Amino acid sequence: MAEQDRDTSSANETVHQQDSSGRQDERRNEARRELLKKLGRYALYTAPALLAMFETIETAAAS
Amino acid sequence: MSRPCEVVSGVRRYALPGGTAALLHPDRQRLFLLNPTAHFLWRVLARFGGSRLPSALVSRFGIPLDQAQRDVAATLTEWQAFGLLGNMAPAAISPPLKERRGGVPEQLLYEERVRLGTLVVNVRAAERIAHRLMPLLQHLRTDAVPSDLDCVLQTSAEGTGSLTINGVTRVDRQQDSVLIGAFYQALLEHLHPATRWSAMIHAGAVAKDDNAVIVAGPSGSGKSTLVAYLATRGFEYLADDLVALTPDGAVTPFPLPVGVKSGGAKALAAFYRQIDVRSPGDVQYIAQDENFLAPPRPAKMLLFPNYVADAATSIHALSIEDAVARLLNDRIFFGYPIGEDALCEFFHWLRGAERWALTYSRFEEAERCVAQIMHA
Repeated sequence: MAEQDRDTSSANETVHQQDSSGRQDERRNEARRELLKKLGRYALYTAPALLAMFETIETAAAS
Repeated sequence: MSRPCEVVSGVRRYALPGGTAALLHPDRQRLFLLNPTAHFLWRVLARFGGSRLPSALVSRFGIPLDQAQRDVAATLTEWQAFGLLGNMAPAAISPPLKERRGGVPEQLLYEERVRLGTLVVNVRAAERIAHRLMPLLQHLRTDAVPSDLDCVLQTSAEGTGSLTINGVTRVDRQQDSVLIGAFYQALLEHLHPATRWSAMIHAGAVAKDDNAVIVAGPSGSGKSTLVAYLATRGFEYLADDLVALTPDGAVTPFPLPVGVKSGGAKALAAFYRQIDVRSPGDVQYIAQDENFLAPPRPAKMLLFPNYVADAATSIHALSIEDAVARLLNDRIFFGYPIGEDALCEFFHWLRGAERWALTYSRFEEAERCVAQIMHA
């Protein structure tokens, strides 16, 4: 049981360390992104979109 | 959830200025217009597969990873639904059509022999179609025999109908607007047997100094009214409702009468004596000079007018993306199935054309805008 507790504790620590490390990475990325934005490095973002979907019919149609 | 990570094979991509792109589905019946970000994702997907999409968005645009993941997921879901991704059965775009029935044919009440240029056409139509075609053709009556074409527009009480030309059924079990469009198309093909068209656009057209202006837009936008007005102001009338564009971007004249709705008719009454402002009908048809054999005119300008009562006149240039979206969301015909060459030619023309959106309430100001752009 004690072994199991240790194991669990160890796993939690690892997860915690990964979370913490991930947050730090994300913070660094965010800072980097902000800096690159200021430098105009990034293209302006617009969410990807399908602007039109056209389906042909057998022939031209009239009003 | 696992996703297909590849684009379906056989998609044809047309890159357009401004970063947008059109994708032609392998079934050659569907065309999709992507904005620049979606186009970027498509290229990454085609080259590297799906796993790199979120990080590619982050690298290019600097957005947070979670936003990139959400946007990629939504985009892939949409593409998957349209059958643009591999390993998936294409989903139906629209609910399956009800089985169309031929139904009991209605009586062919209308028969007319008309001449368009050198072409003599005998037209027989059931009442529902005749109400729409008769005002367009009656001024072209002829006693000439024999006819080159024998056209039968048959309808049924179920709301569909067929078009038969010289005994051969051209379309069957279709709505009236499709039958009439197919009839126009057949006339154009017989008037110009050596010509093919890159697109047939729901639009009107006029020309000045041999340069055509295509006036496009949905029904009710005021395009026919503006075309009819410009025809009184020294512009040559070319077409209303259906503009046939040649591969080199010229408008083939097809000068059937201009159809104007009641609001437009009132505004045009000062210019056309034949307009009856008390007419109870929805549409009045104004016959113009009918030179069906005039040469095609190069189309330099694509104009989307919008009549707004009492609005200040304003005009702004349209991106290719905006112009294509407007045309695709209205009625346009690139062949059936869609012709790859036709699309190339059409996009090539559109790149070089002036593209404008005009809001107007006064004819004179609209005319001034058109003239300024044509002479710029």
